[in-house]
Amino acid sequence: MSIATRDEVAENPEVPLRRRVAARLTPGAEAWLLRLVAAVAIIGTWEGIVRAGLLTEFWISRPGMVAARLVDWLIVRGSMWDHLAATLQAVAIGLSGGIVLGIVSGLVLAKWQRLQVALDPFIMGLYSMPRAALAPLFIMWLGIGIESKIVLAGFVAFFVLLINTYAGVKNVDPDLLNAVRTMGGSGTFLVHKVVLPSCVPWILSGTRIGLAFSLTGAVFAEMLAAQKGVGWLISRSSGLFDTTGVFASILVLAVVAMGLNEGMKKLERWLLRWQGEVVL
Amino acid sequence: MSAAPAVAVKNLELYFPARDHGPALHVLERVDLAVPEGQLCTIVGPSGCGKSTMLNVIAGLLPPMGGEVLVFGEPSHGINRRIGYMFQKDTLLPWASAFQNVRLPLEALGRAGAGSGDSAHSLLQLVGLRGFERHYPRELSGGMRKRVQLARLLAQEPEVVLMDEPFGALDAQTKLILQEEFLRIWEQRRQTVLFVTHDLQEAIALGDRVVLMSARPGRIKGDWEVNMPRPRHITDVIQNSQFTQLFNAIWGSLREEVTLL
Repeated sequence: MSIATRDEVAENPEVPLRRRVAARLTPGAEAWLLRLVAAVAIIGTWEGIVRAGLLTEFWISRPGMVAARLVDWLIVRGSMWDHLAATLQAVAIGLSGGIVLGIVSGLVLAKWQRLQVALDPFIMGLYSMPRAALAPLFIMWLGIGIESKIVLAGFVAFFVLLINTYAGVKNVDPDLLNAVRTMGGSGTFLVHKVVLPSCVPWILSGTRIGLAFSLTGAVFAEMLAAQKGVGWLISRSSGLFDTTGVFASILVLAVVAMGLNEGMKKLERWLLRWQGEVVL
Repeated sequence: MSAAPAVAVKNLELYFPARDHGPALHVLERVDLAVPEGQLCTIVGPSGCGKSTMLNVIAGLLPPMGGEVLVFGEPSHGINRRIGYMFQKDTLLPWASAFQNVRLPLEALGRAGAGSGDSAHSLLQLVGLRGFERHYPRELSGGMRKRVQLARLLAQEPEVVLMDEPFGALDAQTKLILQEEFLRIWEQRRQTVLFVTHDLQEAIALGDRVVLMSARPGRIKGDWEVNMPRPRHITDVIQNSQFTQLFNAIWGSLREEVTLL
């Protein structure tokens, strides 16, 4: 028996339709088709539960209502953009600060071992605790404006970057260092050519985790006390028992977070092209 | 008085510190060796005998606990820019292209100005890697990476070259080709070379002289001159009658040091 090519399968009328369609699709297209099916199933179940009267709109809203609200917030009135801008601004400023301070602190601790020994339990304590618990403190100190959101977003990312940068420095291949040393390279040359480049993968993965942390931190602080932001919108909607508003805000956050994550992956792939294919 | 040897070690002593209350490891014991300028000196010995450690001491990566290292008659402490070192392990920077890797020693010495691009290019050409300038190490085969390392070593323009089993991890054919290439390049330049290997055939085929180190603690156990004419070709050398005589003589002494573990 000979093995049929994809084309032969697709054009053979005796083959069941399901297999003929599958043979026509590339693996990528097949994945997206499967995801579309899953999305339809989830939304259909949601809509079905409400229509069947198992739960009322008051508790879980309804896909159609959420879609209508998104159209209103994003297009008709466009009020979502202000909130999203506030949240993203806090994330952008906080995360940038957290990254820079985290990298510098990681390098400093790796260089001065005594300092690392002294601070280790404090850093691990702050790293291990749910850092969002510090949000009320920042709001008390900095008020309900964007400042407290920036600081919390930066604070949660800072530790990831610090620990990853430190680990990166400690994992530099000693043979590479020795090789460049024997070329007569100075200490600064070694840091510039060997230590920093070998930290880049660590810093990038820290940044991607830090980004997710920052977004969570900013939204959480907005939920506690704020005047705008997506977090504030969620908290206000839930206060008004507006389930539709809560779902619409969460959807916006999910899409934004996914987009940022994909962007980071692309950046990582480009910066680490010397590593070849990396599984992220 | 004749010119000072390019490299000399005198009465070298080295211990590795004890681990978990065990005795300290005596690695090098009164090692004496002088390599005149322009000589390709190969060093063989059983594994773990301290051959590589001796190179690390000469390179200045490890301070000796006794004795001294002289480079062209002057005591050498720490890293010495006149010495180039090719490690056993692949030490190319994985994030730098072949070209950037070859240029690295020039940058390290602050010589990366005008003209350095040309010399990095011509060195890559010399080792047969023209057209691979922009490739990252992972895109090159094991043999090609060794060639880049050789080019990088030459870019440093060292007067003394230390090589630690440079072709050890390669398959037999690639190894043979790289030995030929290495001979071709070295016979043009004639730097002083200390070449550590565990392959006795390689030691005799390449070297002007073969030095045998004993099992730990490493001492110089034997010293043979290799008088086969240059330029040499590995394939011819292996058929030379002197090769067979030397092989038998050195192997007789080496096998006493090799213990089955």
